[in-house]
Amino acid sequence: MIRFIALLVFSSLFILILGPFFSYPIMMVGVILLSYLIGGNGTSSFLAGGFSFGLIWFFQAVYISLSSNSTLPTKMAELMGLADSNLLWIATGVIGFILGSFSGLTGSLLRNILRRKRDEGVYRL
Amino acid sequence: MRYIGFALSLIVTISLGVALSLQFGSIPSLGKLLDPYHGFWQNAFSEDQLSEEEIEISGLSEAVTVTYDEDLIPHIYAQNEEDLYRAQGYITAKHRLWQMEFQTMAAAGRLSEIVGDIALDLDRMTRRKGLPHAAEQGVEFLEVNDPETFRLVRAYAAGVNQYIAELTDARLPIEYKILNYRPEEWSAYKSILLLKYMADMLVGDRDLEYTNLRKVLGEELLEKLFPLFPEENDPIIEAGKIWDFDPLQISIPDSIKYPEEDIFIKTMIQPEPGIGSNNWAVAGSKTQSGNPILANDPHLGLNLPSLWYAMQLTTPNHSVKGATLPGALGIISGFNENIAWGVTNATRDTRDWYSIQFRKEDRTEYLYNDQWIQSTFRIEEIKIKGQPDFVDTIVYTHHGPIVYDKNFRSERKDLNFALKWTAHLPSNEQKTFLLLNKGRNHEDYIEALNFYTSPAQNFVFASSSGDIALKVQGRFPLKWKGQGKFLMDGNDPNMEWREFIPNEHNAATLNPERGYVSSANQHPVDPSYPYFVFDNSFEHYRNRRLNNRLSVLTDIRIEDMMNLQFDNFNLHASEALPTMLNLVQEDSAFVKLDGIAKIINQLSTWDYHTNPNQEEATIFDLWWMYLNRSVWQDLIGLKQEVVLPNKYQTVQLLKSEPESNLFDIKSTTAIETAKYHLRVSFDSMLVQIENFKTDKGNIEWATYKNTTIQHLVPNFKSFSHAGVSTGGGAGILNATSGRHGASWRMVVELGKEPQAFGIYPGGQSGNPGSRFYDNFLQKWANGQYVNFKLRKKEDNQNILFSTLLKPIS
Repeated sequence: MIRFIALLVFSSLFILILGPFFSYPIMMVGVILLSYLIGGNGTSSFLAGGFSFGLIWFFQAVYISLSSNSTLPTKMAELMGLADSNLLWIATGVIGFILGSFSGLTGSLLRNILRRKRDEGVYRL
Repeated sequence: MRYIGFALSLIVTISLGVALSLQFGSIPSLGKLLDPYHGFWQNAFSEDQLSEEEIEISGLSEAVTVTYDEDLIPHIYAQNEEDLYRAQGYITAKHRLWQMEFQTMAAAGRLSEIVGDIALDLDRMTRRKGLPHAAEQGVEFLEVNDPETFRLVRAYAAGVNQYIAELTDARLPIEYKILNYRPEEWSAYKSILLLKYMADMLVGDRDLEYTNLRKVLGEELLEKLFPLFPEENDPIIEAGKIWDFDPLQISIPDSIKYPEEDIFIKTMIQPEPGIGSNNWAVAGSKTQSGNPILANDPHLGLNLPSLWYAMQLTTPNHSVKGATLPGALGIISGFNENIAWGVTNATRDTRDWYSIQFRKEDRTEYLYNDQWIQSTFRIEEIKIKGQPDFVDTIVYTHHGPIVYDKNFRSERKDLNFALKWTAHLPSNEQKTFLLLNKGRNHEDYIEALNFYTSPAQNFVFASSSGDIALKVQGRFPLKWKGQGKFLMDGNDPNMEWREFIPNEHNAATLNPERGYVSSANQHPVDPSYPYFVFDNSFEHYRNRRLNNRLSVLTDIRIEDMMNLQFDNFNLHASEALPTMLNLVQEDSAFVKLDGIAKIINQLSTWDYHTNPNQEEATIFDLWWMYLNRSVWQDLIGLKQEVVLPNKYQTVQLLKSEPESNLFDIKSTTAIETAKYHLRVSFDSMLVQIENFKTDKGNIEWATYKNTTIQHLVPNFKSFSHAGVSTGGGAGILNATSGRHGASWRMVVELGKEPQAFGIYPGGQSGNPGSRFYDNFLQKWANGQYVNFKLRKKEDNQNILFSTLLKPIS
């Protein structure tokens, strides 16, 4: 649970602070590294990475919609064949979740491999 | 197992990252688009929410202040012209980058790079018309002949490029994000290409259609249906004008032999009928204030982002305000402290076609004056999104490029038609506008116009010293009577353009006795003008309505000129409908039929205005459309492309010769007259009206004509506005039809301090997410204006924000 919360918090801060400066593939690499460093199990890393990425994207989209008071979300929803512009918030969150979750899982599984390798090496000594 | 799990997870992660950054067919890259830090969400902010107090600009010699008024109109205050145009480039790009680049991509025949092979035919046509080649020559011409203007054009380009260089993903215009590409570097070439694009948009010809018509109708009937001058000619330059020059002489060749060809090619898209513009100026003797008033409203395609971008450009020596064309320097239609000017299209046949005979299939030599001349080749590589490049070979003759040949729109027939066009000539239109921006009087205006070649324009003028003037300016070939009306023999030197009409001989007027000057795309002159003037698309209604009103108006105020720009009176209907009703009412049994009496009564009491909620305008428009279709059905049914007689000539025929055999349909045994066509078209109109009522709920004029301000990418429907409630129509002073209309309205009163008002159907921002994208639209539809008064740097009322452009220290 601690590792889940740690990854959730650190990933969220990471995306919130560095998101404006780097494209999302770089943010994915960041989540992979954070997940690797924190070392949660597969499920918790998957969920923590997904929720951090997804929620930050979701709330950022909501914040921009409310603060700009723009008609653009409605226009984009129409352009993309969506009946309701609120669905764009959800779509943004879902895409963010998918990107973050698999990044988190990959980081966790990478650690799993490298840790086992190290353990095996120690055993041999 | 652990390795497999990791490998699978890594593959899925990488695949997701890559897949969501790619575009699949018409589906944009969802990851990039929905990324709230870089994707479309960032385009939801309006410009005032993103304002910057200072920006460093390289190449500036001194600081430049940019003050935006409450409508996001930038007022640029620079210390010299080079800084001014550098800042204009930067600021224009900041608000209209995608549009200015997209338009030049269209002008360069490069749309396929953005939208795929759907645009390939259009790109091939653009390149075959020779526009990119002409722009390349235009750059060389400018560099050699006018280094001063070239320096300013390059400064503008540098300003645009600085904006592109510092453009972040977040600030990238939304169209780039959806279509998944990035802007490329701007250049002087693109600014010149943009002016060629205007020529392409405004110039048409019907030479090939007339060639077909001559074979179908014969010379005599052709002359009757397409006379050189209309019966009620109300020209731009007042009739009876004394021409104060000795004209150049040109005589018709002894024998004219046109190529005898049936032309089955699909000819190019022509400017929309009814597209055109109005401009006029009234002398102080007719105005309430005693100052001259000038008005201009160019009618073009109604698009978003708007074609025009409003600006004030100020240096210590001049201050000018009005409408700019994003991509071109200076103000195109506007005013300064001393003069005002505006433009309408001077329709004239400046595009001619020559049939070329090549020696061999390789087309390396062609026949001219019975000698074989070397041709040249230009290889055009057209990039297509997601597909291999398309290579088109264009053969050039001394006449111009071969547009139609066995490889393009000829259904593999072995024909070769070369295009000669004044837009191919090296020219310096940019200089005209730079000089007008600084102009102080009539002499400066005439001097500025001397640099102007294409597309020919009617330049209206007024000055604070009280002068009003109008000049039809372009580079017009000196033609013998009839030259260029039909496809010509490329071998025959008699068919060639030899000279051009000198600028001093172009039709012009200064302070005419009638107290006003005006143009509405009609015939420029009366028959006394000593040169051959021909075009297929001269206007016959707006001009007469305009001059009728201007001749009776006195004590004119700015509001009167605004009302005239918004005048919805349908002169065509007022001249045609009484005859149509009389003829149809001759059949008393027909008139008594159910539903017909009501419609006839409604039309009989119509005031001929086309206000948004009027039904009669719809009824008449439908009736006329079916009538025209019925009367000219034999011509419409031909396999070759032809041009139909215009509505003015059709009305003349209805009024004066209702029994003419021109109304007879050749495929029937009966003899049809005008009455027959009126009856069947009336029936078709009734059916259509019922269908329309069922479909849309009413037949009000605004509902029927469905004025739509369309995004430059028509598929982006939510970035467009359909069903705008406004009056007017084609051939009406307020020429707002479905997709065309007043793209810019301006009224200026000259005097000690000019008073000016302007409006266009859109907004200053090119960003569909901005509140300034379409904030002018409702005012425009209502006939309202925005105050365009010149602002001084120290004025601080109604400021949205200011930005200081600083030289890099």
